[in-house]
Amino acid sequence: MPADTTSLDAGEEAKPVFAPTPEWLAELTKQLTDELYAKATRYATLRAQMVLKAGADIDVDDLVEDAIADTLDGTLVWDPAKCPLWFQVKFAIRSRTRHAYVRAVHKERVSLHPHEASRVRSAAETALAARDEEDRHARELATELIEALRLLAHGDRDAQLLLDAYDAQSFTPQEVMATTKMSTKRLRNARLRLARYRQRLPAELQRTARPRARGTKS
Amino acid sequence: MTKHAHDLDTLDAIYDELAMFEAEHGTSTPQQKQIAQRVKTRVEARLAELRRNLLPAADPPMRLRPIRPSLLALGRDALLAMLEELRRTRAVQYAHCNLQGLSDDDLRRLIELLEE
Repeated sequence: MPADTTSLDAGEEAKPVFAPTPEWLAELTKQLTDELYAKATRYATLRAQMVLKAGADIDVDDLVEDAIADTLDGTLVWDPAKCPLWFQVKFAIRSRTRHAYVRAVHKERVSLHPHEASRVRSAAETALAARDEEDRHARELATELIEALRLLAHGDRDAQLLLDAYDAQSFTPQEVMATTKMSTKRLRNARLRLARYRQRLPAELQRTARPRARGTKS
Repeated sequence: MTKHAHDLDTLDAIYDELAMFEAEHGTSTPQQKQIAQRVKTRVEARLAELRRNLLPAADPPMRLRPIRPSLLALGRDALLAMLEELRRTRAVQYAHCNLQGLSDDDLRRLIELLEE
């Protein structure tokens, strides 16, 4: 990708400025279809639910727009020859919601234990404690989600097998097929039914991102 | 009961799996359609800016040569007669049907252009 440099103070290292080529821009425009916007919005809506469950709010508009804008301005490097734009956008949304979730869990922890920060602890101890908290919260949430889905999928053998696979930390279709011995078609149908069960989750688990005024990101 | 312990990676993967399936096979709600449209509008504006940046820089404005003194000395009637002469003898054509709309200097520039 062609790069340019800006004027700098003495001793400062030059940072390349992203300058897209016409070919790069044409490829991006070609892949930036209405369908991609729709898919990214549906993906971001569900990912935002994870953050909401940690007590924070995140704007679906911002998630989708930032993922594309960060690619446009070169903050996120995209090579059209290496990955489709949809994967790039999805990855950016996944990464940002994961970080937002972790931040929200930490924030909640500090507000619940305001005096803990004053204790003398090494950086490693602090990091480990934070990681424990993330895992504890995530464990509770994942368990709650899977158990709720299990209840809804009662009597649906393949959906239960799929949840068993999640329990066994198998997530990719290949891993799930290896764990459950399901065919591609059976797996697809089980995932479809599980997605429908998810839509029937109780309100506290099914919470969707609330529309709100822009510029009030938490 | 779940048989295995979950952690952040597990939760992240479950939500990714559910979200991916929703993205690939779900149907957008009216609210999601509005969000997608809003984002598209803003991204299109950024794309237009990037495309503009790729255009070659415009040429600097052209400075006209000064009108030669011999033409400056002529009045409007003389200029119109000169144009008529050029049209008749050199078979030149110009788009101005009504020369009344042109100033004297416009006529002088037109003559210079036709004589080039």
